[in-house]
Amino acid sequence: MAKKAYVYNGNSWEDLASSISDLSSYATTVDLDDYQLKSVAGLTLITTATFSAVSNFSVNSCFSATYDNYFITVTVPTCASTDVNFRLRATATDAATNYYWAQIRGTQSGTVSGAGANPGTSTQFSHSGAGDNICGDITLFNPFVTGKTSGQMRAFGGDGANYLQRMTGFTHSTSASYDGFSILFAGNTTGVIRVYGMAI
Amino acid sequence: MTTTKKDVLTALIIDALTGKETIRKLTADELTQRTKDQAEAVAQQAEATAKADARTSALAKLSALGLTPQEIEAL
Repeated sequence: MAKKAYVYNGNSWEDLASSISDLSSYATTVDLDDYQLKSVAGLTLITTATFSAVSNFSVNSCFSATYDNYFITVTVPTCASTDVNFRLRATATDAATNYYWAQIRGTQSGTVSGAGANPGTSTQFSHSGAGDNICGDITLFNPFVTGKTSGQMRAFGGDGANYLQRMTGFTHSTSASYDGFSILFAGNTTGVIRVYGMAI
Repeated sequence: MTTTKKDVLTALIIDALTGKETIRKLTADELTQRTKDQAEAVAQQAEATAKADARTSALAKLSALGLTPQEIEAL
């Protein structure tokens, strides 16, 4: 059975089809775009950066009040040798102190060891041999919120005849708000980095 | 990757809001920090290698004393 449609005139409901010929006085003046119709949870891509022959790679203005937590992917097909390090960044300047980190290191031969800093000038993210590849991800918790920033990192890379897995946790103990980050390679390097915000 | 005098180490800075990219040479401070980072990495790797070698040596000595792999693992 068909239902009748009604509109509210401010005092009472009126039959839409027979009583109201002009709906303009009932229309809202607010654009629909101002409203989020449905909450969308998941990863939102903030920026993709492809770089070539770069030693220090930095992204500014990628963290904001929009998201609490962030997910960063790092893909480097050709890396310079030795360690790859990570720093937080605020107003286009790296934070170069107070990184407390602990790392589990594994190799394809089954050797497991550890490393850390108490504190260091950066957090160690990965390790590579000259011309080898690395891939990994970084999860950051509350970098934009003024306070300590923590993170978890996973990275896998080649080092000549060896393959290395590194899993790192870190806290940056300086109470500050950060809007970006840097990844420091030992030499000029080529790769792709993507930054996602985590919507909840 | 070994760098030589001909290699120019560069920094790429991207602004996620504007998309603006800035490429420049590393500053003297950044080069100093890079050298320090590399020295730390080499020292940490050497420490990890020494620990692994010591463990291998200790396992061999325990085995020479007659302990089985299961007994060594149970320690």
